[in-house]
Amino acid sequence: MDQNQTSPTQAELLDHEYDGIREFDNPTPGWWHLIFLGSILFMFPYILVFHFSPGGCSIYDQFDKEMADFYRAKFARLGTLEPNAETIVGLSKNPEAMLMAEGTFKGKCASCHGANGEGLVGPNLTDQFYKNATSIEDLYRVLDEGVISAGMPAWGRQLHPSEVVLITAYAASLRGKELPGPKGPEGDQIAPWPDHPMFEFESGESAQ
Amino acid sequence: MEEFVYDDAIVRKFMLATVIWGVVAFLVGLLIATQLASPFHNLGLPWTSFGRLRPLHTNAAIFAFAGNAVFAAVYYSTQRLCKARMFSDTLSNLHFWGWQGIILAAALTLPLGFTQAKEYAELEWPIDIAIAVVWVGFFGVNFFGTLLKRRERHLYVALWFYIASIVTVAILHVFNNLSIPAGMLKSYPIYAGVQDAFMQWWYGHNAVAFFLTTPFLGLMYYFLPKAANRPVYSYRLSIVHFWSLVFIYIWAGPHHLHYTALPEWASTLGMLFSVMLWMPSWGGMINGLLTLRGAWQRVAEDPVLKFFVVGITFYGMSTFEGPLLSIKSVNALSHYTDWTIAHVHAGALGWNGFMTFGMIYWLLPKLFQTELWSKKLATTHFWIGTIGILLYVIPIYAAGITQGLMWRAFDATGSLSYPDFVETTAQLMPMYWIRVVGGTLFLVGAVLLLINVIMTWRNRPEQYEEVVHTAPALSPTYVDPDPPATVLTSNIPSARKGELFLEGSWHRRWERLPIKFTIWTTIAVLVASLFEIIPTFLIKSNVPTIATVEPYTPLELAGRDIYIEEGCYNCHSQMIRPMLAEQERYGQYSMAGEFVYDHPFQWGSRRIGPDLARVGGKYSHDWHVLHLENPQELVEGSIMPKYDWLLDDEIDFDAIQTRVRAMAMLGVPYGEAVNNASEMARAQAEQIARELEEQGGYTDMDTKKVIALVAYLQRLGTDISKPLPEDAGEGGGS
Repeated sequence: MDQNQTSPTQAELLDHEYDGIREFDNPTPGWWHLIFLGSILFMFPYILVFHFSPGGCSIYDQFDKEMADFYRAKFARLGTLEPNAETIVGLSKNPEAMLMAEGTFKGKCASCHGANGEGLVGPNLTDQFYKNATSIEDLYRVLDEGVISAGMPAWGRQLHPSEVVLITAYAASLRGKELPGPKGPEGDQIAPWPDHPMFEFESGESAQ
Repeated sequence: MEEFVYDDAIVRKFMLATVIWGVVAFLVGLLIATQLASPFHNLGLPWTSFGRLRPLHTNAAIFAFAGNAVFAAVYYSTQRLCKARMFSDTLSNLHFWGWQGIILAAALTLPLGFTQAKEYAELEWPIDIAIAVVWVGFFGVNFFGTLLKRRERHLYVALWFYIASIVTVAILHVFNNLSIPAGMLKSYPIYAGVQDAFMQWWYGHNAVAFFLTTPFLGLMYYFLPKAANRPVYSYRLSIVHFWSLVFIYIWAGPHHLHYTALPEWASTLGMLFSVMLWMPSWGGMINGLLTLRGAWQRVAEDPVLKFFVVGITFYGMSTFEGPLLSIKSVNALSHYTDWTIAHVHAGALGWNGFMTFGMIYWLLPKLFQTELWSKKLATTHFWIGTIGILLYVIPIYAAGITQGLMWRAFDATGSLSYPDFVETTAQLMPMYWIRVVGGTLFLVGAVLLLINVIMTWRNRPEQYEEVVHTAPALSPTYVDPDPPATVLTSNIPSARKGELFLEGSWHRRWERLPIKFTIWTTIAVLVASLFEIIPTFLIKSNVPTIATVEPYTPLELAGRDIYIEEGCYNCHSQMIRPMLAEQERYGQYSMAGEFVYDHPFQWGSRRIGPDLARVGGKYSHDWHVLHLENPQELVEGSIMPKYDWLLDDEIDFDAIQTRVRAMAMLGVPYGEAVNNASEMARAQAEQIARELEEQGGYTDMDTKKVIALVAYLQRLGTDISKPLPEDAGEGGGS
């Protein structure tokens, strides 16, 4: 550190003194002034661009655009999904659709139904027993409207309508895996899902 | 000539309190850091769980450790800079014991769950009143009294910073804590939602500015040139950076609320003024580091200067990082993550901690009038402390960025890559353990200091020598010396006047007028505050009304109070930002109108657990009760403490009535609930207990606290998706 021992000869030592402390009157460094001034002037273009641009550049403008792009990309291939047995069963056979649904299942459903649908607080989805459904349309209704007395939320209020159909298909696809869960079978054994061909995506750009 | 003796006994007291509370604050910090790495360390007791201890840690670190350090610095340096004993020994002692009493009150009430739930302003109203009395009535009067009876005509820069700190902290404290009591240790702030958030972060940010920055700059300006025995680098830089810092700092608070329901113009102002703060802050760093020019060889051998150099360096880093984090797009990533935690600890451990340690090592020989017991131990403290800080902040920076990136990651199918929040928590565990090591080292360093203090104290003389100083009293007929004449003086006198203005000779005159100086400082702070506060409160469009938003039912309010008591806001935010990843994870972004009945707001500042703004209706009652009883049973890898006592403790139905009335006084339209809140709460509790019984195995829960908390959680965020009420005027029901 010895090389730093330059003595500030050019500096003016002021003639006051406080409890032995004296002060130089060195000029403030030039870069300090420049950056300070720059940080003040930065205000004007920033406000102009982010609050007054004609196209809209506010946080909410940017968010709306981001959401629109996202939903266009995500649901463009799926189109509007109808909540009927044909679509739901067909989707449950489509591996790409199931991959799309898996993330939502993990985020929204797994906390009660287990990571693989084996049940936790909520019922096991991998066996043949159902508490509130006797058909696949019922299963959709349970997801969409919820079962308040059982603590099942109404996902129709929180998710995109097509997404509820997609998640129903995912839940339906879990049936028959027979994973052991903490609870025994709940409800009644119901008839198998009807058979429908695999749901084909409309041709066009890929989901992502 | 007048004779006087400095009061060093009071400095010794504050210095000892600093060291003792420092060890306590670091110890509690270490405990809560361990709790995050391993929830077992919550010990299963209400008063040792993270949500209650985290405020204890922050309050102890800020107000007990840093606070006492500031007082020690002020009492030592002010007397010498003013060539006068403190104004009143009685006030000095009232200040000391009053402040320690406040700290003890905090240490008792916070773990017991008495809290206002506003960060760094958690203490309940009786303690707030005590703080105001001690700060203004004892400390303020004593300090300004000393200025008035001083024998040194001009005020040195350290005193400017003390003035700004004392005035501004008083203003911040009073206005952020305005509230209506609803019991001996319970109150509701007069502000709600967006406005409460704004006031809180106006306060919160300026607590950092005027409690942890300006007084420590004052400390630096006195103790650094004394320890280095070098003149201060630049007087004119002191002037420029003092005024720019004081004026600009106060605007910056809204950067804590980027992307929230705060109006965007306020957020923009907060960001722009934060960016402007970079150079004024660095002015202090430059003046500190360049004062050491010509003394660098002494840094190698003197632990005091080592602490100062590293402290000031951390100040420079933190005040560069602060403006960086205030930029909206950076904040989008950093907010709610550990990045903020790393940032504040670089500041608190590095700047506040090391400046304090340096000051104490310099003071010890002077206060105890003997040599420092062990310089080697002090140097060891320096190295252990430095390694401790690095081991703390580096992994926590990594944790923050990891978390921020994981929260926003999408996979190829357009779904969140880590939809389950706990996946992101699991990633942080190794970093949390390294932090525990870093924190331990920092604590060990503080213990070494404590040992050095005790051993030096033991070597003190039997009787302290009281040096009698002499100085003339200030003459009342002082006239400022004429400025040096230049060619302009005789030729163009008006131009010379302008030149003198630019040179700042007016400032030299202010420096001998403490009242005028204080008034101008107050004006600088107030003008900036009012520019932001008035529009936030007056512009109606800042908080667009949502017709379906209603007050919490009496039971939900009781549940909210439990949420506050347990300090849930320390880990859970209630503010979904308008961002794709947040909307996918948590639902519709939060809107200002949803919070109009939230006294206090509970937006939080950190997501150790997931956001709860729209948790209502997403899980069954059964799930919530099970989860509160034993979180790890439902969520593997969760680091949430168990709250099983909520299943045993009884709801205080009688207190609900008082609380509803207090809320009604604040203008919350409670309708019939103002008179029969307790009955309404009982009825709703029975209803929820019945539903719970249908859903799972829990029976006879209708009077337990958990029912109230579940009622509150199930309500959160649901108002916007329910149909319009038929009779919109009726309040108090959901």
